[in-house]
Amino acid sequence: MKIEKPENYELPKDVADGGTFDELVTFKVEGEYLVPTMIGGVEIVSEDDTEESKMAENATPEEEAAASEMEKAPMRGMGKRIMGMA
Amino acid sequence: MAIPAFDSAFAEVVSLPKKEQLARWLIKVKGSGSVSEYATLPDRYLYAKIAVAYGCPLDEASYISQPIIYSINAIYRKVAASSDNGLLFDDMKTGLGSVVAAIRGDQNISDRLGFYIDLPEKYQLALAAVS
Repeated sequence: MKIEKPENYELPKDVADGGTFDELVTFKVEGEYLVPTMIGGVEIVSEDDTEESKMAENATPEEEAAASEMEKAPMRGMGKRIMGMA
Repeated sequence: MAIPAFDSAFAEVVSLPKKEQLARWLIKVKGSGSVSEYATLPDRYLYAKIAVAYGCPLDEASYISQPIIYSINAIYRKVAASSDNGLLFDDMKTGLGSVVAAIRGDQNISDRLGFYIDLPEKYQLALAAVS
């Protein structure tokens, strides 16, 4: 069944961004605790803290090649190393 | 309350490889671009581009030349409207979780902030890309 959209109707912002926290996350009760089980309708599966979860900064050869191509473009060169943040 | 539009987008992004998630996040912030244009770049480049897309103060080459955590800190300060200087976070999981909390406006609610920090990375990145 379709409902005609009222004039000037806009979807609530929550619909687009996942809603409130309570709408986004589903919990189960374990004793005195709430344990998150789903987020955005997707089951939360813990990852072991090994290969996938490590945010390695070492690029693969393919990545370096892609980066090298990018750096050929103007304004893409490596700048001086800045140790502090502005 | 079910949120079908968000759930569908989130489910799609959470299953993507990490680089494609980062590319999706970048495209969302930039408002243009394609996943194939960015998904072959090293993570450090992608985070640098995201930082610049958010309007962080340094140029892209500067963020590229630093560890990723510097870009994460810069993004957090921008998203959370924080005026702090220096490193707020020194580990990626805390930094990325805090960024996601800030994107969702939950950075000042401690139990929610803890939830985002504890989330596995693929969920953090998917939230950043679609929220």
